[in-house]
Amino acid sequence: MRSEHEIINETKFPKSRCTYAVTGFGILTPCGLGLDSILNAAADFDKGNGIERHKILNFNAGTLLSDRKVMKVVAHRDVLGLAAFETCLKNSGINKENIVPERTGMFVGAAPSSILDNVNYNEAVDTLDIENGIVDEERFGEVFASAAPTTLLNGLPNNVLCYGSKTIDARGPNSNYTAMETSSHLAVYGAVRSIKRGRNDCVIAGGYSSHLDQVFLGFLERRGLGPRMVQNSQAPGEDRDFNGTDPAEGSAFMAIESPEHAKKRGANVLCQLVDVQIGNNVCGPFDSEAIEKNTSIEVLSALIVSTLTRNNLSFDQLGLISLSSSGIESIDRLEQRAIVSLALGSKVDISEIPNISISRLMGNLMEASGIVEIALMHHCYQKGSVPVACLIPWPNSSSVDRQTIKSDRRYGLIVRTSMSGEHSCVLVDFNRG
Amino acid sequence: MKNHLLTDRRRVVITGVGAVTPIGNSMAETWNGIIESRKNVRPISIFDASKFSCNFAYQVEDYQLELRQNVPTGQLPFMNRAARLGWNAADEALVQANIFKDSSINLSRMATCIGVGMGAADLNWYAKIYRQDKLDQDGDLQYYPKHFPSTLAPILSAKIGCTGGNFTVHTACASSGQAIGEAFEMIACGDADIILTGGADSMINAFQVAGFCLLGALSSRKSDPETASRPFDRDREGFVLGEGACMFIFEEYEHAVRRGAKILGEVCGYGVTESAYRITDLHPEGRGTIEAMQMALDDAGIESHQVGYINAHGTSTQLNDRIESLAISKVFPSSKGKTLVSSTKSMTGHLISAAGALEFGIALMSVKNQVVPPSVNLFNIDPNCNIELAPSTATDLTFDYAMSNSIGFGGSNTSVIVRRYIP
Repeated sequence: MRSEHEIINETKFPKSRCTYAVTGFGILTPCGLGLDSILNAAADFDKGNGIERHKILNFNAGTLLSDRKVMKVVAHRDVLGLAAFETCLKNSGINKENIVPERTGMFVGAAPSSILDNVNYNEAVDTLDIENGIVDEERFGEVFASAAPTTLLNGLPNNVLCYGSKTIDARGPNSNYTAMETSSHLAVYGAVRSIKRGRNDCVIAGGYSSHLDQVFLGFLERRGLGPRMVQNSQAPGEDRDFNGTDPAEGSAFMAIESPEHAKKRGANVLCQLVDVQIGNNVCGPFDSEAIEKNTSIEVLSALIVSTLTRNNLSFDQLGLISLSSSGIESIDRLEQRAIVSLALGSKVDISEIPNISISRLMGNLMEASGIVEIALMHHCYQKGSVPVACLIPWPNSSSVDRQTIKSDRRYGLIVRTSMSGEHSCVLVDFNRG
Repeated sequence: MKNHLLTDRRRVVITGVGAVTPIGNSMAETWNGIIESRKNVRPISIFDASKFSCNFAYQVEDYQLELRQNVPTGQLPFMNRAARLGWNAADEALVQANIFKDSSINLSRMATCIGVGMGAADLNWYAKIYRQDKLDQDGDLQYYPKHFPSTLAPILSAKIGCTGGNFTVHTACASSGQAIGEAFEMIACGDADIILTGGADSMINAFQVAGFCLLGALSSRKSDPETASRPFDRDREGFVLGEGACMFIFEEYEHAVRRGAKILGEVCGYGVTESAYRITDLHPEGRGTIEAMQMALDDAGIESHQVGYINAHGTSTQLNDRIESLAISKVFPSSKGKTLVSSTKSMTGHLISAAGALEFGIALMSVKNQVVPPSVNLFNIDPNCNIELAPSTATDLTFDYAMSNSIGFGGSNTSVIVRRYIP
């Protein structure tokens, strides 16, 4: 049997070395609006206080959206997405005046449609006879007209792409993906590829999620993927003895520009995207048993190695790592094993690289998580250290892992594995110099 | 725009195609159906639509839903109508491209990129869970996976064993046109060598047909369903739903040559834009649609007169056909007599998220066979549609490039160009 490293070395990935400027974030989580709200929650958490988890409470979308009428047409998750999108615009200073519409686009990791999007039909459904589980469909044909004309659009998965693009008049290449936890990284991948191809020079990319209905949570439970079902707002943090994920709602977008575009408009460059790579396991979707039995460490390891090597980087240049920390043992173990084994192979002491995650703090932000982690890393690099509440211990770590970031390590690596089988690796340059 | 595009990109060819549609159980059958002007529109039998304002559709036959290969038990719950159609179309494309038997393929460089719809929406199931207080784990949730729209790509990756990424694209009716365009770009840029791409959809269920009726988008020509889908006709009054799937194997040219794959055509241009206007309406001046076509032409490095055939989005709604015609006439100003346009939705119905894939497949077969599909159900050309529509029967034509357009709710526009492959 060939070793992992032999297989990794055989895998041929093309060389790539370009950077893309990140010039703003828009973050909305159960902790509140903006990254500061997460940091305040982390501080509270460290003091032993309960914090808001899972659900976004006391959220006034009307103050964040430039077109409030949209709220009447789209689902709750879309409102969350649009709120983070508009916050990102403000944070980055991007507006209609400083972009070229045909070269600006949105790339979105969207939460999928839900059967519960059909809520507008409730009045009609109330009138139906059900016999042996079969609804009187003929009658439905007579009464569905009581629903709003735009009912179908409530479940359209590209609502955020549509209304967001309209807000800023972004008419360039764009896309909309659904892939659970890796969705927002797929969006970043699409954005970077489009800038690299020369089609876009300014992109708003991100994702949004709201999977807190009993149907989805029950589905996860039935597939052996959790959830903890502790859906009260003030809950303790991660329960490390529980095997399963713990969905939370949230949304996050970031502004990505070609360096020339960012410079031309005098934008403040927060960090630079170096590379994004996407892969997948062959377990099929939402199959906890298959993940346990069949997931190969080789695919993920190869993806991580190539993300570094094709950019002429090595493991000892990483200052921060963020893994999924989804709560699903098989996924979390796989990612940790891949990283620890690669660190060992590179003779790097893994405890020197903090492993960070917000999921311990507020639950699994699913489609939004990939962007929130980049924003959190940006903050950590600014401060030079990681909030304890966001620190995930490496396996077999005998002491408290390092909280401070080594000054000579400017790169952060974010790894995601989704329940539907995708892997993503995002490499970011947080040069403070 | 042209000057900005990466010029040192790789060539992308098509080495496999598969389709399951209302007029055929393979791409070859579907193509024969197209050139014979076949239609398979009939009263909806999937549910009782007798009281709906539109009660007919282009449905596949039951036998077309039988899975051609075994699906792992854990993945069976996810196989809704669209996924079954997608699985079968993918199987045809994979076999044609000899993917399963070719051990030279590096599966870490192969990906899936699929355009999907909103997922199934079961009125019976919804009514049950809505009316009861608490969900019964086994009884109520066994149907849930069928409602999940984004599982086809990971299921197909698992089938093939490829690990280069699952991409599920959703931009409504532009989904699979966009998935195809993204697959083309990924290979062109060097991110993958081979990709299974396309789309699958079925929205013929009570909730979603009701949704389209509420929007006023469907034809209500109950007295004559056969002629209800009539793109570019003066008296058109809405589209007719269809269902189906179309899948392709896209491959880097040298890769295909090296392994001796049969090349069916070459993908050479892709344009994608957002209208940034309204969610269901096209911009009155064709903004977005114009730019997508021009971007695809620039990407292919060709002039508009070189395109012999355009498979238009042509939904048979008043608004779409008028504005798409306007857009085509602006991008193809001197193409009268040179570029023929048709919409094959008159024969297949509107496959929604799978429409872009099927229509790109028809464009591929058109340029490969040097035959332009007919304009069917075109009784009186709308004077507002000032384009060169294809004749009412399939027409022989010598040409090198065909274009397929897709326009989606939410404002997404895609145009993809396929070139005739001459060895």
